[in-house]
Amino acid sequence: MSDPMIGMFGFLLSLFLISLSVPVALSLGLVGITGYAYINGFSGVLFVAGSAPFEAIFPYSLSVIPLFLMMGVFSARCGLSADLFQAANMLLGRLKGGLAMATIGACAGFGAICGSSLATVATIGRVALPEMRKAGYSDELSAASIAAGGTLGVMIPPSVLLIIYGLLTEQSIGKLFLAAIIPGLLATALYVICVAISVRIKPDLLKNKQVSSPDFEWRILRKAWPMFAMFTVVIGGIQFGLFSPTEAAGIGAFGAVALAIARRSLNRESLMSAMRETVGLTGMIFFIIIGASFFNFFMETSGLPQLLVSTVEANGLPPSYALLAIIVFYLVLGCFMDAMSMILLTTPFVYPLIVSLGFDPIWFGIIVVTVAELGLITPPIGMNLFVVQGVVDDLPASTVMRGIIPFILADTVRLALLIFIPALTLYLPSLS
Amino acid sequence: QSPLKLKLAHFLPTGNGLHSDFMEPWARELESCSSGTVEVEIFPGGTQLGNPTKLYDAVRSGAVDIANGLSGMPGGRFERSRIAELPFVFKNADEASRSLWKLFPDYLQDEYPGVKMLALYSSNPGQVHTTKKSVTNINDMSGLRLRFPTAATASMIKALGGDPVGLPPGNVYENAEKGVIDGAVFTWDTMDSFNLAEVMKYHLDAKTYVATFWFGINQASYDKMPENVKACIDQSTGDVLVAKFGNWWNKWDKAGYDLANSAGHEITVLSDEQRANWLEKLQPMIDNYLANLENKGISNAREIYTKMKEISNAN
Amino acid sequence: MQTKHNDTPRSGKQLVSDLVTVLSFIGIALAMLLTVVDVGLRLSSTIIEVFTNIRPRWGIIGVVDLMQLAIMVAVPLGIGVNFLNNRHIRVDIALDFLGKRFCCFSRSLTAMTGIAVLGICLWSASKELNGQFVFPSSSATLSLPLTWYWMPLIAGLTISLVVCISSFLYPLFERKPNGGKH
Ligand code: NA
Ligand code: NA
Repeated sequence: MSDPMIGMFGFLLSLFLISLSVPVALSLGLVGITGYAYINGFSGVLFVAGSAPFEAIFPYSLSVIPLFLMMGVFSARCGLSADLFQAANMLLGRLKGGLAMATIGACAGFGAICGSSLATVATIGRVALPEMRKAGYSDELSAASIAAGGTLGVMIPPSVLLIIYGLLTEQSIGKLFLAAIIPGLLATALYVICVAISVRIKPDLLKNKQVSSPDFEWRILRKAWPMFAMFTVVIGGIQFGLFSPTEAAGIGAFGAVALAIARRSLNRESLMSAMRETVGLTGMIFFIIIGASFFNFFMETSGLPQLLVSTVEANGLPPSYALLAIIVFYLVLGCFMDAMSMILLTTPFVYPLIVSLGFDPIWFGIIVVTVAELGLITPPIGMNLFVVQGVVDDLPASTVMRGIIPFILADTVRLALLIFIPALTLYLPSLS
Repeated sequence: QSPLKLKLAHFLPTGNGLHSDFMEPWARELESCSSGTVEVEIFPGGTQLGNPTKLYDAVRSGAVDIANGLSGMPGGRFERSRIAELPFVFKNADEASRSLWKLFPDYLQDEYPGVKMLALYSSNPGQVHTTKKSVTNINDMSGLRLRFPTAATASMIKALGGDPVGLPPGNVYENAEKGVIDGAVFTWDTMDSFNLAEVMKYHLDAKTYVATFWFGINQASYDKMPENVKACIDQSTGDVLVAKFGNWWNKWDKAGYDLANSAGHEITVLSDEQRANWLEKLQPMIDNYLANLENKGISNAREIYTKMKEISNAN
Repeated sequence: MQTKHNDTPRSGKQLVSDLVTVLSFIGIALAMLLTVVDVGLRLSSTIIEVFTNIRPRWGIIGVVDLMQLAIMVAVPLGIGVNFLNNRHIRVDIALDFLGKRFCCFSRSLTAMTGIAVLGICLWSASKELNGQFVFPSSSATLSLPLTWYWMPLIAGLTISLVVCISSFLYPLFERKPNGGKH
């Protein structure tokens, strides 16, 4: 078997192990180590196994991840999610399907201070789902709007996925964040439109028509101000060169802790659980990065990425066809994989191809995150769908999956817009 | 019979002269000299194997066969060779590279166990490049946040009242543009290769420091090679290779210098008299640096320093 | 996908897990404080410069080295905590469909994979640590010995490996097969 074939076989084998519910990090790690040993012999493996875990944690640029996670976790503790939902409800609640729209608005707001999709779903879900049930919204619509809204957590900066893409491809994290702002707002708008259309086409999504929403009051909007303040300081600070992404994350985390203390939302128990969550998420993400780095050593040495690039170049495949093929590949993979694992697994061989085809790396970063987050809500395996089910008991998987279909359509529309109008992503970074 | 595959790793982008003028042609020449017995695959910066801090471990463990690395990465490893990086030891790459190679057998060899060194060499001296504030003498360095290339340079910046900042070369542009740093101590070539001439308008050519590199092959890989390949490697490395770096660095630096010069930047060349003045001011820092090395168990640190200065002054 | 498979709670394990959690969190919190203080000092220097033309060169010396050390403590211990709580990113759709017996199989498979991967990492990492003692290298600015950075990694890997070995051995000594609670 030639080396690139071994690479291909290793890729499939790792998918197989993942499907047997072996943790993703261990699956990638095992295949990476064995594959590398098979091609390069045992002494090389000792070097890789000795250096990869250390080098995956050591770089200063990566310390941005635990700090952004900490910021998200502590913001979730201080009742900001309830304030956001209340504010969004006040603005949108009167519309038909308004509570679902408010949920999406609250997700977008929370996404602006939280880097992960999981945390957004869990945080907003806990606040919004009971409210929607009370107002007679069907579980189908409520659960789906939370699951879809959660993807805004990774699209709207700060975003762990964009950070990881930026680190893997050596692109500026600041530029990626800036590029994601318009696509994030676009996603929010499309989801809101999607709710509006769904409730008109399918009236039984709202079992009870009488909706009462609070009157407009500045007081309610003001309660959500810490969110705006944190977003402005963090993202603005990066853009104006006041501090690096890592420093911004540190300041954001500090702000969230300070807010939690000021609002007296920390007692011994909730502090311990916030620590568990921060530490657990950090460990999970870095363990996957370590596993993926073993896998990347193996991929690189198998020559598969190089072979793919040269094959596409030699066949003179038009860039648009190649791009289409890559996107379809991601969509299929996204049905079965989690977004971060997918990005870590594929970037090593897709990225060189994209660059050689002449696409903009920042633009492609936004496309990859869009496609990967679509994977978060596509059945059968969509992490957000599971997390929503985790938030509320007695919610059958089939209900969530039925409700999510319109949102998948909305995402497809957004993907098409982003592909055909690159200015949507590239305009803001071009200003800085 | 399929060719013997050799892996060569380094930490630089493929656009860098060290890749395109030195390693890439060297690798192809080795292939043709051995009439196809070996095939060299290069892993440049950005690849998993091209991690600058792991290059020495990679070549020593046999994960790659040949590697080209910076003596300063990771810190604390090649302290004897890095004495050459102290301020005002060497004036150009040619002199520094030849001297390092001359001192290698007697003084530096022990620093490189398990790896057969093919060359030690250094860059041309770096300059102080600043964005907004012109630096023309020793007092101007005070208060500036400057990116430093080597530990010795960091001590120097600190000794002159500046604020040394550690940054990977690829991040210097962004940080200079945003004003996070006031400038960088760097070689001329980076004005072109990292586009730094766009943001750095003032250049002080003080010939203060050089950065040292090593180029080596895993001892076991070398030992088990066929004789004809060994011969090809022997005749294209060592003295023959070391002698080439002077011209190469002059060529690479020229691109950056010309760019800054033609853009009308302020370029100040420090006179010999002023250099002596700087050296005097820096002497305590140099003594301190060498004393630290002695404390760490490098008992002949001062002897190496003196030897290097002797060779340099003789030129 | 990301699931919390909590084994039957045993207070000893919980105690260890909480202790390691707190240690790991201290690392992240220190990293946070280091950045905030450093940025604060730097911004005040700049502000003072604007008004007085004198630039106090405030800032934490070697802040990057210290941050790296803090994160190096936090992350490997965090990985250890996740092993203690069996909390990983995994795709458990097969578990839902194939039921109890598959669950035992998958659990052993995970433990074996863990032993293989973590075992080789730990072995190589301890060799690296040994190498650091013989042939020391140090951090960029403060010249802290890199052995400090290696120790927490070894600790985190050891915790994780011990958990994998015990979860592999545990079913062998168990009277009732446990694990239907997934
Ligand atoms: Na976000
Ligand atoms: Na999916």
